Amino acid sequence: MQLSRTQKWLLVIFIITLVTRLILAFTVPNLTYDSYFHLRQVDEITRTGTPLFEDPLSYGGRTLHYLPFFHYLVAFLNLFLPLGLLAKIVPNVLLSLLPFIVFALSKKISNNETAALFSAFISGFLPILFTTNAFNPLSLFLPVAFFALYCFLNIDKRGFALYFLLSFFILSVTSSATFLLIVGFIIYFILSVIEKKKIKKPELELIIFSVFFYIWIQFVFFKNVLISEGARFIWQNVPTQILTQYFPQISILNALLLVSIIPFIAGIFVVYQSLFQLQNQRAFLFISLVISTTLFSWLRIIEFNLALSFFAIILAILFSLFYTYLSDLFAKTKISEFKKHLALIMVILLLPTTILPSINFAEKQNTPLDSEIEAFTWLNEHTAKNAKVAGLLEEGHLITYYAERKNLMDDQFNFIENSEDLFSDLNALFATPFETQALDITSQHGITYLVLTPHAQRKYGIKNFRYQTARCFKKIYDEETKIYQVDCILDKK
Amino acid sequence: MNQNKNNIIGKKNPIFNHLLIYQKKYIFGLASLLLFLVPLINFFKSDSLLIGPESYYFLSHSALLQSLASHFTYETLIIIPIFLGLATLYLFFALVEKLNLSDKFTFFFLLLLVMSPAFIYTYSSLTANSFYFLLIIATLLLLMQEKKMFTYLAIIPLILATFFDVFSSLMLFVLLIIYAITQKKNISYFYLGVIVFSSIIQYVLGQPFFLGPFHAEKIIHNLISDFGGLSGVSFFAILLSLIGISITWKRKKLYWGYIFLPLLLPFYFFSTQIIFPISILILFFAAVGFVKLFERTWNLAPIKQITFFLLILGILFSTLSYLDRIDQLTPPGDMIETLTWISYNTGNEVTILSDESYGDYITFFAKRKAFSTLYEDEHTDINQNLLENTNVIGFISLLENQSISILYISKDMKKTYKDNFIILLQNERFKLIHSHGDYEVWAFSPKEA
Repeated sequence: MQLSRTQKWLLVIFIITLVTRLILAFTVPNLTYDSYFHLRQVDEITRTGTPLFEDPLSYGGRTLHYLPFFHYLVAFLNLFLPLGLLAKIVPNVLLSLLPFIVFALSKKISNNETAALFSAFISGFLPILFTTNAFNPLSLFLPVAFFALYCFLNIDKRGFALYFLLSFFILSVTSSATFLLIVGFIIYFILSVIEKKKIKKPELELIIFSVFFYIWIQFVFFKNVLISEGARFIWQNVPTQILTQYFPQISILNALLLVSIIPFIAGIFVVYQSLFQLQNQRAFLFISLVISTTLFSWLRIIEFNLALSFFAIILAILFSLFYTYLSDLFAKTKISEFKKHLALIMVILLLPTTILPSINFAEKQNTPLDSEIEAFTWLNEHTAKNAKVAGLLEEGHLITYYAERKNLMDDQFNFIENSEDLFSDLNALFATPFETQALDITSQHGITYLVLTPHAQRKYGIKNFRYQTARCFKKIYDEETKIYQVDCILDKK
Repeated sequence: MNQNKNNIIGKKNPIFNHLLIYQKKYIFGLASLLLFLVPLINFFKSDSLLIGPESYYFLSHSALLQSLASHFTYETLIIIPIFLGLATLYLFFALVEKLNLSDKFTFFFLLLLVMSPAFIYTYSSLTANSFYFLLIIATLLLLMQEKKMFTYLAIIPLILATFFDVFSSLMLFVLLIIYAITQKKNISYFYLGVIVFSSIIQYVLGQPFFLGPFHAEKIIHNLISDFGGLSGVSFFAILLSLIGISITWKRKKLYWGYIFLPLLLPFYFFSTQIIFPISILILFFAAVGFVKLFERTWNLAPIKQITFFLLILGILFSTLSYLDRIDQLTPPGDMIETLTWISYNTGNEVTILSDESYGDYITFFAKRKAFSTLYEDEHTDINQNLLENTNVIGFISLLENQSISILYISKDMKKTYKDNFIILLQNERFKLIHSHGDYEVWAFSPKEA
């Protein structure tokens, strides 16, 4: 099969993206903190065939609710390859597929292959997506979500309805963030009505189907959470003290760097032009998705990373319209000669604003050190099975994955009644100078070991716990990471 | 083939056609099944057959019900709402025949209604709505009769329907006007006058604008049963109603539905007690949306089938999920035990401090005076002040001033007020006199020995 010039370029973009991602993934040690939750779920599915909905270790034992498709997919691959390797390869391969989908979508809306190639390149090197060591369902969700959008736009063509159904099913059982698409579809419908653009009948049918299907799946998986937490379920029960961590008030400059500055400027231009001048219906869908993402991000319903990732990919797609517009503009003006160099100028502008921030972002990923992992593995080998360990909130999954011991808390907050109190107690364990307060907390929660990693030392500006005495807190592991055994119980009587 | 797939609720679908022809039997059968299932589930899973706090309000306030409860057991009274539910349905079918509503619409409206938690709740507990809706349907049916005598008889259920609260009378008033306009029938001013006159008398005699509330009110929670509400409707029904509203916007015939929207919706924000009429309105629009959605020809016929299947599953899911937790809507056995203990071991004159939501259970099971209830404003502020108090002297002084001698504390209260009045119980003047499961009875000595 003879590949066209465009196809060859697309392949080159894919290979460069994948290779860069993999090099970074294997250079940066370990995985991001939240990845260990997903690793443990995959591990459980591989061993037992079912997800760990009744977790005996998290929060000292709790009921968990999550959508397990991604974990089943990796568990299946785990039959052929080791999990450690899959954790680094699978997310990067999946996210490297984005340029293909973005190319197809961009070509669809701009009818310009060069413009689509630029969009594909941008999507491959979006800094916000360069968390190369993150092993989570987002890596599956993003490419499948945009594939579903591609199918939606091609619904008139044979077979695309089935592809849409399949991809939408995968999305619905992969991440609750699928509601971004649903709300995007609804806004698209409203925008089309307002602008008096006729919406295609099959599109409307797919929107109706998607809404009901998504809600049904959420009910099936989260019935109990919905009943016990009601509408608060949407906010995932995140303790207010760390809401800013999940939904940070980020500066415009930071956001620009993460979504890449050129596509951002181009995106704003395209949104303005499409809505108020050209009323380009093809762009309406993506503009609707931008609106839904912004809305949910503002309402703090979706996590910041997800919102920005989704936003960045849409901007990459909209860039194709911007490029086409520029190209047409130059052709019409006296400087039409300039048009020949447009691609080169874009390459010069895009290379430093995408690749460099991406690599920089990847190198700054928040991952545990090898010495920290060693300490948690040591806990597994040298402590009783029923021990309960307190570490930082983000280290909660390291405790359950490597140490295989109960933790005080981790970042899976749903269904946890007193997550705010727990977080206050956990914080106090690291910050308090009073032994009685620390003992009160360890006794109340049955904590038998305290872990002080270099990460925690930096976070709280301490070398050791301020209250520690050899009588009640015996140091049993003294490397970069320190582990203390709690030997006293505070009897309130 | 594509045509067949598109014909889910068309006359050409033999199964649907069969359901449509025998809809009375099927709807009636389904309603009976669901309504009898509730006491059956509670019989096996719970310590009481009657659900909802409103039942216990009527049991402790209605002389007739108390008399019945003393002859049999109070739990046998579950038969009353079930009978009312089935009777209302029966009369509704008669009304539909008179109104010439379409078969399809009637079928889906009643299917959605019967499967809704609002219907199940209303007709599984002693509620004002269970009586009220029977009375208004009876009124309408009698008014529609040809013989004058029957139309005069309509005055009886009409007057009875004004006995609940002012809002119900107002709704009846609007309903009669709508009936007169849409059916092009002259309603004598006499009937409207009777409603106004009766309501004024009731109001002067102390009838509230809204009866209740009998439970802590949460607007979204109470509306959508899937969010754990006491009744309400399924989330799918809400979505379908939005489709329905967007459709009826263009149909003049259904404009009257919109008259109820501004009447009911704003009032719902004042009292979620009107959830049943709100649910009926939502389900009305949902049925319109459902019929319209599946009557139209879809380009993607298989997706139409899947969507239909999903919707049915979704609505069924909400119903089953509601039935699955129906036992949680009854007073727990531990609560009944502790309150009954109070009735045998304390003086008749004692006043009990507790969360307002337990007021009716205290009155019924303990047969003692609850210091405050959700629907009596007199002591609401003091009750809240007491529960949120952190000053032992102020707390004791308030208890003495209000002659409160018993504190009834649940596990939820312990959690909610753990930093408030709960810490004050360490004082020697409070004594735990009884506890069972998650419930505690504390005695307060009014004067220091």
